[in-house]
Amino acid sequence: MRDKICKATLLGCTIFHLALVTLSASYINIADTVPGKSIIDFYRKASGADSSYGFFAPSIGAKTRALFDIIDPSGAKIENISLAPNAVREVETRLGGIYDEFTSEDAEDANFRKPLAASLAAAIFSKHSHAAEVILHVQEFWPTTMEEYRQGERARWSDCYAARFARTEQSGGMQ
Amino acid sequence: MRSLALSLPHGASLTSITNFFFKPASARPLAALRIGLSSILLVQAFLMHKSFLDFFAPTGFVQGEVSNSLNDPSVPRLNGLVDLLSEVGIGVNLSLTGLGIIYVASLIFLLCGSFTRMAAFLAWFLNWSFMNTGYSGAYGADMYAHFFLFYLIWMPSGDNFSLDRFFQRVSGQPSYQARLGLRVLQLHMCISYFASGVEKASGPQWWNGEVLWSALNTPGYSIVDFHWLAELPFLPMLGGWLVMAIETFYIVMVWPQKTRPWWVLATCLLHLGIAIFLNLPIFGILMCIPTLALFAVSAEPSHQR
Repeated sequence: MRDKICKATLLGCTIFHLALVTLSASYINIADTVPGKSIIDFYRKASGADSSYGFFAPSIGAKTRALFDIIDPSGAKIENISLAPNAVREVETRLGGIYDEFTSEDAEDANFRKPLAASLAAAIFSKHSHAAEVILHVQEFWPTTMEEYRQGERARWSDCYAARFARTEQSGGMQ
Repeated sequence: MRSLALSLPHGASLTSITNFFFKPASARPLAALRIGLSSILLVQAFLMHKSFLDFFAPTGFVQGEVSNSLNDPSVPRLNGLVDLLSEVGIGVNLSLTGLGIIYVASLIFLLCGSFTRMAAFLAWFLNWSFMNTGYSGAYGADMYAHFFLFYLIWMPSGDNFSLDRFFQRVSGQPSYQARLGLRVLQLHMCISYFASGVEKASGPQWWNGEVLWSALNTPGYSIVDFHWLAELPFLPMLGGWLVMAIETFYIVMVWPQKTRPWWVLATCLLHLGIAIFLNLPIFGILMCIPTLALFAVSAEPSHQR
């Protein structure tokens, strides 16, 4: 009898868990009126039952990258420096996540992009102690369609955001 | 399995449901998942180790308050622990490095199946917390790793191919917990592939091959020049259809014994293709592991030596 109760409880938990997985996979949110929603939401995040699975779906979208120009105190400029030169693919993939933030929904807000850009510029300043200024270029790559390609059109990287930062004299900080 | 597949459409009986979820099974598929997952996560950790502090330290790529604004406040992060350690004189970078070493150690314990559930818990907690500390740039591989590690806390994956078994900390006997664990994982994979296939099919770009064409020719993904596909548009179109078919019908075709080997093979080839041609090796290999472990490794006790 005890074994049956135990199995029935486990089966109930399994069905509940897989129902949460299915809801998230279907982009169905749990209504705020559902009792214990905050606990359910935390469980979904902890268990990974909050995941959706639309990789490259329904389309691929744009690829984003960030390049930096460095200007030293004499005015000499080094262009197109990467945040992590010679990075392995796993690191590049994650950097792509950071750059994608510039084109996310929140990115319309300048108060969101500016601090993020400043943070990336600070990382460049810390790696290039001679830099007096850092110019950040966030670029997008929108692939052409096959038809456009056949007609001679070629996809190119284009700037979607740029910002310039200068090292301050007193603090070593930025303007 | 076969009897269930035949009986369910005509009326599910309590016995067949009970057998499906609770018939004692070997934990070998779970052990295979444990070994495969921890191995690939160790490789991932090795690949990330040079940039570790760049992603997770408050002075890294995405700093202090900016990373806080990007992270989910309801999910654990390591900042609090790191702040606490800094109050007793342990620097932020040293604390984070220490936690990174504990994460790697937990993966090694998980790989060897030593104190397996505790190791799975530590690996899951640290993996999840790191995803929300600094800015990890988490992507699909992390998402799958997160829920597999969560499952390994609760499932008896240390019952086979493990030091726990070697030192007789577990019996290793077939159990209903192993069967239930296997079914949960199998069903989760079926849901994820079905959702992925349906979502791809919901737009025109997978039907006309444009997604494959774009992915194969976008810098960052492409490693070989595939622009010649523009002259043979039926090839990416066919590829798109194949991907949608493999994913959408996985939920049906991976169960019957006749189609299972073919679907396992097709799914693994799909992910190896992603690993090679989209230059996503960790994600591609990680995604082969569950299908191989859960559908190609027998859970039947009669096959257990």
